[in-house]
Amino acid sequence: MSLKKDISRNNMSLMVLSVLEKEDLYGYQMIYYLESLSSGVFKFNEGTLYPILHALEKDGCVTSYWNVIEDSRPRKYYHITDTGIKLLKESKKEWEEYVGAVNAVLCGGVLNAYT
Amino acid sequence: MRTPNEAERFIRECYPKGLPLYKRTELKKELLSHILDKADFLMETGKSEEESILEAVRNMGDPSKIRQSFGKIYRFERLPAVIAFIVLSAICAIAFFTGFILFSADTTSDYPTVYHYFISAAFVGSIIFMYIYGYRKKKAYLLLSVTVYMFINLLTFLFSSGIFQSVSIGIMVMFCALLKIPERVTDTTIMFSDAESIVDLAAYLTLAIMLILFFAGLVSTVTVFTESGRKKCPKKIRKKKPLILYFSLIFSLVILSSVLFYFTAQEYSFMNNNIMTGSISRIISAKKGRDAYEELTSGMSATDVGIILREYGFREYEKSDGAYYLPDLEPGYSMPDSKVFIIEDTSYTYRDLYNDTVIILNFKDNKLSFKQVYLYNNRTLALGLWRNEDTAKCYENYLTLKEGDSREDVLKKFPSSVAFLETAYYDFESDTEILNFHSAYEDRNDYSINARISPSFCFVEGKLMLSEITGYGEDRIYNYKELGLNLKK
Repeated sequence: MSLKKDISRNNMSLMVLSVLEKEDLYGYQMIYYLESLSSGVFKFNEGTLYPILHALEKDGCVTSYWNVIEDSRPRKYYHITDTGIKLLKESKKEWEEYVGAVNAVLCGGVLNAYT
Repeated sequence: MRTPNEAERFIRECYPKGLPLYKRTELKKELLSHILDKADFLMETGKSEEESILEAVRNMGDPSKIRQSFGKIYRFERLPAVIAFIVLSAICAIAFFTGFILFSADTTSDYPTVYHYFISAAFVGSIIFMYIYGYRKKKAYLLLSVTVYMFINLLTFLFSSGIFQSVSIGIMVMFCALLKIPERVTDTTIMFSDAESIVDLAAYLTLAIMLILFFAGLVSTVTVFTESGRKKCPKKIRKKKPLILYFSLIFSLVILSSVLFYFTAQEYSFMNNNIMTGSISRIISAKKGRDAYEELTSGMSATDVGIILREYGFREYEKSDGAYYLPDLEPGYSMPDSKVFIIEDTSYTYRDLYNDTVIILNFKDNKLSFKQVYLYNNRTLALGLWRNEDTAKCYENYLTLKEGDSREDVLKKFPSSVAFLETAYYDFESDTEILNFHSAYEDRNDYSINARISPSFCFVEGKLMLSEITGYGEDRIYNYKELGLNLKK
């Protein structure tokens, strides 16, 4: 299994909350942002985003509302809640620790190889 | 842009089973909006509308995986539908059994027909209603229909319809019979003091069940159709697979019903060929009648007889009072010193009298000299078994009878498994005992063996002297005075 795919799959909630932290977005926009921000690294089946959003909403991390802009189709926007922000912070911290640990191992491994 | 079929199909496949209507609508709107946004984008790159939509749908991924994910998220919302389905199935199972009772027990009035049409109309009407309003879940249709059905049942109960009470009592009959409640009724001071209170209890228990089922159905219906609120569900249930639970329940119901039916049929086999056609009042009445009859012995005083019969719930009737409906063919009744004891109609209906148990007694010098019992059931005098398949055997045995056969020999050839003793009386004038056996079935057109036979036997000093074979239906002849064997078909 591709490492990139695995990482993106396991951290979708974190990434979704992260993009929502900046502004309210609807599903299609989120896909666009996620792909752009990751420079196309995180590409996934677009339909899989919605169960994640609905699960986050159910857990109270996001709320949703319908917004109809003139001459446009109705879109369901998601808004991050305080719970979501709190979770995002915790997850970010965990992620940084995790990445730090992985980096340490990787770098340590490289150093050991040369010593 | 109109909603494309491919997108519709894809979205439909994303719904987990049992997802409430409001959630489906919202999900559809959201997913469709995404697909169309994507399609718009692809069209801007120069692709055709059709191509763009197909690609947009393809980009969404595997609908079955999305459905599974949604299924996990919305299992709470799906629970009411599952509960509703189980409740509905239970109701259907009960309705299935009660249907037999309803249409077989009360054949004397038009109510069952009207009731049947009314229920059918309610079912069809509700299905059409739901279809028009766009909710296309079979489970939901059934749920609503049965809720309506329960509502009508409740209404009919409240308006004291004999039919509904027949149905409701029928549901309880197997349980009461299995627990042998009729036999346990001895203490008149307790709640289950007499047959009537048991019947009442059965009816009220059934009413309670109906009420619970109705409100459960109502709440479930409202929840399924409107999704007024998310139901909380314990983790234990959440983890179970609803389908397995459902089938286990149905399977248990079938097993339980079979066991109940087996035991009750064994216990009350003297009653009729089909226990389901008898209400509990009939069973109680028949059982008491039989027991009381067996306690009466020749030579008992009228006072003692009265005491015994009253203990069993009988009360004495004046001839002109309640026994006017007894057919002429019960000669014991017409005798000068006869007394008639009846367990009054313990059932639901005021229209018919065929649920009574009647004991007719004759006294000579204040001593019991003759006894006769009638267990009225569907306007048929019945005591013993009535089994269709034994008719042929009965007929064969009848042909083997010879003039001069002893009473014991004759009775051996007509055990209760072959024919039931329909009437029995003693003709004091000729000093003969007359037994009428009956082994027949109504409304069956297979007369290959001249199926309906009603042999009557006359014994003088214990020897067979009189016999008769009759036709069937209205053509039956009761000619007790004809001597000798008459084997004409």
